Amino acid sequence: MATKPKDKAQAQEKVQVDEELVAVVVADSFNKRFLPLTEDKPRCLLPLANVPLIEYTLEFLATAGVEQIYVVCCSHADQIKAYLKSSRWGKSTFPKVNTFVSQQLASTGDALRDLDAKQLLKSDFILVSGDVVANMDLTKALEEHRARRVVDKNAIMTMVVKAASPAHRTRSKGEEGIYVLNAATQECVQYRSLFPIKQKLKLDLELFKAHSELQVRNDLIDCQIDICSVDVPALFTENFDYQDIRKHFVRGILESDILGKQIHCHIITDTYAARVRSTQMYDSISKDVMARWTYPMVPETNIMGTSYTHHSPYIYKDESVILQFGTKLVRYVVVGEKTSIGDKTTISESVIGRNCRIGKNVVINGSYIWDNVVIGDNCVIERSILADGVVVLNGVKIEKGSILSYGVQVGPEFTVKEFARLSLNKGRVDEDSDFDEEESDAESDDEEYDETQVGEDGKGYEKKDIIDADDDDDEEEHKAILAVCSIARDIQLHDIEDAVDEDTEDEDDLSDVDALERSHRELISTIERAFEENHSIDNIVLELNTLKFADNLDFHDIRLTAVPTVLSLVTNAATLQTTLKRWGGLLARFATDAEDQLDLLQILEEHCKTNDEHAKLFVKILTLFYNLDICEEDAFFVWFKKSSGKLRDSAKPFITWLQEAEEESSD
Amino acid sequence: MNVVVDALRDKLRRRQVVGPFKVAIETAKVFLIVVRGSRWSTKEELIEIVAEKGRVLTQAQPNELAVGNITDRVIGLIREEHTALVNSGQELDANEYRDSLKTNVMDAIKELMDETESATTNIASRALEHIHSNEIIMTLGRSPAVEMFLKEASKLRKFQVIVAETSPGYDGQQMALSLSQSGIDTTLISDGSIFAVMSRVNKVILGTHAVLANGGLVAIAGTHVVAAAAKHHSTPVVVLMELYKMSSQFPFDADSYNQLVNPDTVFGFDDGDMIDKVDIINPSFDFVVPDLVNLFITNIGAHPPSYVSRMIYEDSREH
Repeated sequence: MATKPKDKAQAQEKVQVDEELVAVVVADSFNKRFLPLTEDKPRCLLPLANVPLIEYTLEFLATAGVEQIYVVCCSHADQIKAYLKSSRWGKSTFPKVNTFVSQQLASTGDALRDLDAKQLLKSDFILVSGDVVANMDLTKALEEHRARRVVDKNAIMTMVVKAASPAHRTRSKGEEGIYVLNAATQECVQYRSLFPIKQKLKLDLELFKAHSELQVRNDLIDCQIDICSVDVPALFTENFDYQDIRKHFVRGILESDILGKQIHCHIITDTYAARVRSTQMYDSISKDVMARWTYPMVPETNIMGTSYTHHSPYIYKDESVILQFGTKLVRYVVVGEKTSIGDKTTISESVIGRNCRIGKNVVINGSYIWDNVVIGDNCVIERSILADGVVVLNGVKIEKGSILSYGVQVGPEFTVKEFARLSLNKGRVDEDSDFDEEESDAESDDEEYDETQVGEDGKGYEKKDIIDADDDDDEEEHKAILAVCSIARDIQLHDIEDAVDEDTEDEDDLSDVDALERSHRELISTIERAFEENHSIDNIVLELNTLKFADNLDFHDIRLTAVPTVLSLVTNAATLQTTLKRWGGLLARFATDAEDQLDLLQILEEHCKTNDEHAKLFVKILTLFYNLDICEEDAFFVWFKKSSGKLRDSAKPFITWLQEAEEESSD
Repeated sequence: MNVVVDALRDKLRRRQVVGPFKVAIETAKVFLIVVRGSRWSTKEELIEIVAEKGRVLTQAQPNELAVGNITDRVIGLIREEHTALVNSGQELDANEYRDSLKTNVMDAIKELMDETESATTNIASRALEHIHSNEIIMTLGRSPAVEMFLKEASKLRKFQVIVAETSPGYDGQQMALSLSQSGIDTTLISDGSIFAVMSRVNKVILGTHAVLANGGLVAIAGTHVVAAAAKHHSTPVVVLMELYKMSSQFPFDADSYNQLVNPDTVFGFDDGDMIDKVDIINPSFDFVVPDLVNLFITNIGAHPPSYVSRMIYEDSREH
């Protein structure tokens, strides 16, 4: 009896410990969409409406009553650490902000595995990335999550999503996902990212048995705010190939029958949350901030100790701003401290940073100009980003979608072509801090700048191949995302409405990239690597399956690639035998049922039509396919029936032989 | 001490402490700690410290005028206590002076908090002087003062209340529910029919967020419509004002007292096509010029709008 009150006290204490609210901020984007801006500064320290992105995230978490914040940083970790230390978060005890540096992170998955190894997370936590802007009421989502956890321990994660129509400006183009939800419980039963290729969504009949009402929703923005239970990092550790939390983890969990875990969605409707995923999102979230959707996170809240005031219509300027009599701020304008703007200059839908000097007769529209930028007279700047310390000399025209990185100088009397990316760094240091520098093609000497790129007195290099020259498989995805982004932009916006052209600003040299093509190249290189290094069939299959998973391919795509690749080793009848004996198993593994095998044969036929050498060997290949059990008799018959042409005819003796053999055996 | 100030500053900024009453109480609490915990030896030093902290808090959320009001009141109290101490004829050395001023000011702040807490009840106790049987009263929003005022009157008198629903927050709906639950004959109308219904109304009773030095109101959005309609029909407009809502600021630019909040409740964010093309604004407040108000009822009595500046003057006269 005596122990009872003590137990109770302990239990109470436990509850309290459980309720300490912890958040994990992943302060790394693991991609390069903001290059060249992220060469010198991590994305979470880039200013949005003159406030570093991470401030929004931390302020949001602090408002939600989070007590412990763990900031996990990787690239530019020293900068993030120094920044947080010197900012008001350094001294703050509520919430307490702790930073962790890990150099070896390549994805959110790695970050979580790292945290799991450190054993820091003992209760449910909030997982956000360091570039989220939100004013949502997290407590409601938390309550829902906890209530579910009490009933069922398997409800491991709650994703926060926001409803928004498909053509919404705050949706990240090309990165949308389709959610299949249980209408009553908001349980997410299926998730498909629509990238890199749109694919069919197949719903198992089982799902309808388990859930009385299902919603398939394409109108949700992924806010990248997740409430996770402690099991989540552990699951990441178990499945070391999970990288992306959506594409790999959510899909993996939902499609796994063994785990039996559930993921829920929390749909917010009257509050705001979004993540700066790309320059296009940077643009639209800046506009959302200026249009006050993020209230109270608006410039005149002055979280950084500034003194902005708000004037109608949507003009925010600091007290120390100096304007001339004829300066015109149209609407949606933020002007930072100590900036001076010259006479007859017109600014609309733009953010101007601190200590900028802007000359006379300048027109700035839809642009983001950071700190200490000097702009001369008679310039025109259209929907571009100008980073800290950029100097624009007199009479320069900057066309839409350009990014001028730190310290670049352009002009005088010069036109920066649309979607140009200028930087002072010639080589490239990428954001994930693996230092594979590459020389951009044109330059030879450090001091020499190409006049055609930056003008007579300009400083800087144009970066053409920022995204192109990288073999890292994550990058493949991003290139394709960007491709999709730009394509989406062209289709959706140019056609419908020129005026609201969303300007992804990520652009041009990528638009020809075909996502499918990339995936195929990736498959080919995987198989070829296997040939070189003489892997076992099992290993290749595993690797290909992973790729299939990551790129949303189906087995047909793999067969389509595998057939020519394997046959490329074949030069004559002798090598055919050995090759297929060694590698035929690979094809067999991806053609397990009759339908697949038929598909395989059709692919083979198509291939042989284009390759004379192999056309001669066609019948031999078929025979070997049969002998090595890659395809079964029935598949050959069906194929023979459906097919036509010279190759089919050449296979006639083989088929007849097969039929006879079968009849014999059935006799 | 700074921790307490910073905590309140952050709360004000994050909109975790909202509404004049809560803000007034929280601010007074902070000043209690500031007076007790900070280092000072003369009246001037203490006033300087209090003014400084007040500035920090005011800047954090300029729309919450109660912060400034309480700061002014506390500074006034310090001066008052100082004068009282000097005039008391006691011989005090520096330490004794400091200690007794500190205790006296803290007691005065506690009194101020008591006054703040009882202000609404105080106003409600005057209800019977203003509401008569069979009157039709109109109100909007959900002001605690108005709610208590009407409920108090309903104990003895029978009257009818018309509540405008007050979109987009729909506080009026809550108000109507609460009133009808306590047995008052209540009608809920849409904001659009305020003018049409006004001809039948005997009296408009409103709450407010703040009252500025000229007697102008900063009150929930929709108040101006009601006040203007009342003026047209020559219906008296009575505003209930607790003293902590009385600000010494003069509205040179009435717009700057407004606050545009998240427009989601006006027009949903999810319609992406529209929000690109339409400016959607959601102001929290209306500024109502003093001409549209007939009477203020405060916790110290009823006064016409022109008397507000006098009250502010009296408040600061002796300092």
